[in-house]
Amino acid sequence: MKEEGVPLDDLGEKLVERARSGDPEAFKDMVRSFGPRLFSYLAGRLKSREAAEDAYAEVWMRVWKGLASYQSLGKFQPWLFTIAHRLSLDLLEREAGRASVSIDAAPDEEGLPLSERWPSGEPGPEREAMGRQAWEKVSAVLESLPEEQRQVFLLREFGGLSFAEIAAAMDCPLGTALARMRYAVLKLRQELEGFHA
Amino acid sequence: MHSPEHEERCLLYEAGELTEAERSAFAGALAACADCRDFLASIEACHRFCDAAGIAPDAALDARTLEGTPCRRHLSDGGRGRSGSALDRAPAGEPRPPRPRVSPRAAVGLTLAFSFAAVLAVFLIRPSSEPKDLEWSNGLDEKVAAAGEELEDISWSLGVGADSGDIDRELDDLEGAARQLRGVL
Repeated sequence: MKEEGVPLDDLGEKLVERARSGDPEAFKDMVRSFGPRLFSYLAGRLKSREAAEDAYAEVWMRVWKGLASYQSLGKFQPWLFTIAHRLSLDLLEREAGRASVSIDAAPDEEGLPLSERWPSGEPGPEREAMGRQAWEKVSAVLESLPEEQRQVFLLREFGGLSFAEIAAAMDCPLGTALARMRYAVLKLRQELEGFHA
Repeated sequence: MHSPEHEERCLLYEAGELTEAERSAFAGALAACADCRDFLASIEACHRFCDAAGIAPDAALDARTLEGTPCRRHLSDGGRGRSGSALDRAPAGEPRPPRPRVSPRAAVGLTLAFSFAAVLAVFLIRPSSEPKDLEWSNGLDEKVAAAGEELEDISWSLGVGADSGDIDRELDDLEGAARQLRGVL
């Protein structure tokens, strides 16, 4: 993944250094650069806009707190998404048993599914519409996946974690993480046949 | 022969997580296996699809995140706050300046200095009028005042001033007079 020609992990490291040196714009840039993927990840995991928004703010708060002790090993994005993964686990455990509002199923006051009211984050109305449409499809597939497969898929596709990092975050063997991802890819392929991004 | 392990290998190959040797070996197998190439294409399609998909947080959420989730510490404190981040105590986007660090020894010294100054101030800054009630003295001040008055009365009844020095001189004179009388007698 690249942002303005800079690999995202390199960008993350640069932004961490700027934030540590007191640059007031660094954290804003960090949120701006990594926010959309983080939010998509959380939305996919938590299946509720309200929960995703709360988690989003909480993740950035934990990132801010942890910046001083973050070890610059070129792994900012995996670090960020590991924080998000752990928080999501905590929140889901807390909400276990409660009915959650599906992103796609819950209508707003105007009767539109929530996903249709969420901007894709991409500039341009056409791109935005495509993004929303794609998101609807992805989130529908994610809903159908078992929780572990959804976790792996989101960490890989939106978090950009390596499979070794995913296995570490989920505390499972590498082979298990790969198997879960394989099932998720096959499911997505099956559902997306005929749908072109 | 195609197998789930081959597909998992595809995942690692596409992610760049194989060693050079493993990568070279798998590239050869890939060329010979259509199912593997098909699965690899599915992985890449997932990437493209997810890159296009996604929802961004709205501007209000980002603003809220940047301006003020509860915070306790600034970044320079090592993020040791109980909860929250330093964001809410800073103006939007502006990290607060680091607090000056004071060594423990200096902190003790400063504390002692302030304590001494406070005690000194208590002694130096006296009230303009005597306190009316000295309840803490348990009436001792009244006894002292009464004894003083009694002494004064005794002094005046002796015909001498209240000054004890005067009384001593009078006694010396009386003794002198008594010696003279004994000598005469």
